[in-house]
Amino acid sequence: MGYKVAVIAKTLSKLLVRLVNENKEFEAVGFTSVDEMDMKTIGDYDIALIAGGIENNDIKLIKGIILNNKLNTKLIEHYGGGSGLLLQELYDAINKK
Amino acid sequence: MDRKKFLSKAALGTLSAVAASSILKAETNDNLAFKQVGFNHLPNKEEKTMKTVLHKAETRGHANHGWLDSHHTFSFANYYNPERVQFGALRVLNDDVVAPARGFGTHPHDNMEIISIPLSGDLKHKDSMGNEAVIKEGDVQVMSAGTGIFHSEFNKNENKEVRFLQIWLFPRERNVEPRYDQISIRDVEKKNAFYQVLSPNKDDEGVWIHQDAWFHLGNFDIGVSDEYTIKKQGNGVYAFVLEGEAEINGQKLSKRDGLGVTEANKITFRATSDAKVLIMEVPMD
Repeated sequence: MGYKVAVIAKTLSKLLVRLVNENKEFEAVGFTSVDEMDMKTIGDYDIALIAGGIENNDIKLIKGIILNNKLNTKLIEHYGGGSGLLLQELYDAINKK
Repeated sequence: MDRKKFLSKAALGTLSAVAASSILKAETNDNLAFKQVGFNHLPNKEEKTMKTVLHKAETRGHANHGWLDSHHTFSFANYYNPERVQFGALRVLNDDVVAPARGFGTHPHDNMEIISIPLSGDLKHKDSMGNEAVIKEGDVQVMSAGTGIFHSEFNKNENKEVRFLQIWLFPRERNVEPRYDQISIRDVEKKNAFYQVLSPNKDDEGVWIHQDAWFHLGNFDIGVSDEYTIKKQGNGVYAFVLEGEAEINGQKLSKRDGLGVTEANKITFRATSDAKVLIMEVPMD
């Protein structure tokens, strides 16, 4: 089973999920907003990938939940839109202690 | 530190040398960075210790997909070098050659300032904001991807390659409204001097982006020298040689070599052959 990734992106969620899932090491589920995701489940994911359209307040909220509950979920902010940098960001996240 | 504070701290240091040894140590190290000038011993705040990073053309990442032959100055796609991820806000510098009538199908971008500079041939662009355009040598195209866009890029011609630089800068802020722009730089082009093609200011020369960055191009005859003065303190400069050979701050550079300069107020340039150079000033934080 691959690393579980929660993709949270307003516009590109579906596409990013498809791109992430093209790699056997990762298993992604998409959400178009923080409200759409049950935050109690954030700890079920190895990586929370935040992409375009997610406001800073929502990013802070997710960070707070991860820190306060001492979850192992890695929060990464995605730049670029899938092509070129996406896999590097994911690998960086799983290699970080 | 002004003269009054400097003298005051020196006096305090004399009175409480033992108790304040750690502070004094910090002060001493601090002062080492400066050159003493005149009789008042005030530091020379203009003094800078320039740092450079050299990326020779042949050390770049390379991927040849048949329809696309791409060299990556920084880590991109399957090329990953942890020592070469970015130069400040400059994250991607791809040197692309696309085969006739081929190209990048519709794909997404978000939260990135994307600048395309055609070097030869014609590149056809179509995006989800309704823009359809062709850019060619002498044009500069910019897209602020912001909250998210889709676009495609194809070689318009069926009988010749298109060569272009694609440059990605991290934006100053996330989730801006997506936008597209392109300009011809023929009107602002100068011979034997750097001329601006990109800035953070809507009313300035060239295209504008959501980042405190400035790009200048220069087309020089052999032997000509010029200087580039940093516009925003703390920014670094990445120089990329498009054609010919040049020296930047005394460093010899050949075609497609890159030199990053930080902690400097200006850089000096000399064309050692007829040369074309792109200067990218970007934030380093």
